[in-house]
Amino acid sequence: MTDEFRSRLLQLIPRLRRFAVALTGDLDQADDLVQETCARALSRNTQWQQGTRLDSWMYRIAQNIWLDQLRAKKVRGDHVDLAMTDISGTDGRTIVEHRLSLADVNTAMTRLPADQRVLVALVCIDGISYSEAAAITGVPIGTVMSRLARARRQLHTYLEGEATPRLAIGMKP
Amino acid sequence: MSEPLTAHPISDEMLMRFADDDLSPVERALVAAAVAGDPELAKRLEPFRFTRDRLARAYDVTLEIPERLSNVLPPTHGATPSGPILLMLFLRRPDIRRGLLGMALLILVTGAVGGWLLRDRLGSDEAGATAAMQRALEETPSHSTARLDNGTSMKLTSTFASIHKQWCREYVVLYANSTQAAGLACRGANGIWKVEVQQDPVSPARSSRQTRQYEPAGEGPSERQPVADYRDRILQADASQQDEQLLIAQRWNRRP
Repeated sequence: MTDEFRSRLLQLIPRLRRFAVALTGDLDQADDLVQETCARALSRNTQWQQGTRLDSWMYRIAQNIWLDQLRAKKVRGDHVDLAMTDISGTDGRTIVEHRLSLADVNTAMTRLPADQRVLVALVCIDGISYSEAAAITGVPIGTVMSRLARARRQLHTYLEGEATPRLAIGMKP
Repeated sequence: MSEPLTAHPISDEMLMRFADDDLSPVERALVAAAVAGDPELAKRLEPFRFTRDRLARAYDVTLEIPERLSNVLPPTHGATPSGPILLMLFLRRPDIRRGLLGMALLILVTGAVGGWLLRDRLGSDEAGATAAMQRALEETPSHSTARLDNGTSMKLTSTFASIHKQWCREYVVLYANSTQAAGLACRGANGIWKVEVQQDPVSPARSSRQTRQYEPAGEGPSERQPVADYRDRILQADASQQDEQLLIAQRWNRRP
């Protein structure tokens, strides 16, 4: 591991953590994912080609680990983050705030299919271009754009258009 | 583009590219003019602006790196990862940690006299809830209840700043056997919540009687609980609901 590789990887950790939170919807799972991603990147650092984007390479690793975990556990939709449950209000209290809370957004994100969640995390949250997102996910750019547009309309509906947008996954109205 | 944009209906993909600033200056000007003159088009644009701006900003709080990730990379001197370094990272993996923890517990639980004593400790509702309590204290608004482990839950009751310049929270742990225990924890500079005082579990009837004793009005100091007494000793100022929401959203990164 060269010093340059290590330094660049360290700089990426905040963005990688944000990406991982967007995928998993859970801070602890996200930190686990970041750790596993770093461990895998370090053990395979010779596979990264100088001159190519390290962030895309790391995102691809994180995405693959997360998708493998999803396939193994079949956990989509059955996990409720502690904060999400609380924000939805066990006492019927309504929390009103101008800024969207992370719990609200995570709840909405976990309602999306995995492939759409990855694209939202890459393009909307990290600001990656459509073409780079296509390269990371291995999906044609036209498909990226149509999936992304669908996901963003859906998120807007979940967060702004529903009467009970803070309903957590797995909770009955 | 070979044809004017206005010759075709503006697609959602085009609106998305407009929101993401992915159009050429000419395309951008055309879409901007179309959106300005068509409320329906502006309505279709909203989800893309929303997810680009407000949704993305909600994740800003996750850019702060917690302690456990701050040393995720081992020190290096320009060499490729050595066996011990890879072993260290391997041992840090959560699944491996869980496996090792399970093995350790198995050995301990099957012990003789020490095993019995440890079994008693692990069998209590309090044992093993520490990590979940950390999360509950970190993320749960007051008057909400968080699930812990083994059927235990935790209701947060108040948040305040202490004279020691720490954020502190009062809570009630609700055990699976219907007993309750009031407690108070404060957040250290290292981000770890430390339980300052916690009562032994009591039955709900006794607990509700004691809870009334938390109220200063009409209660003499001698009858009040250790939690309330301790709170009074260290209280600097109560946090408002708005302050508390902000503190939780920003991971308590503002000192009192």
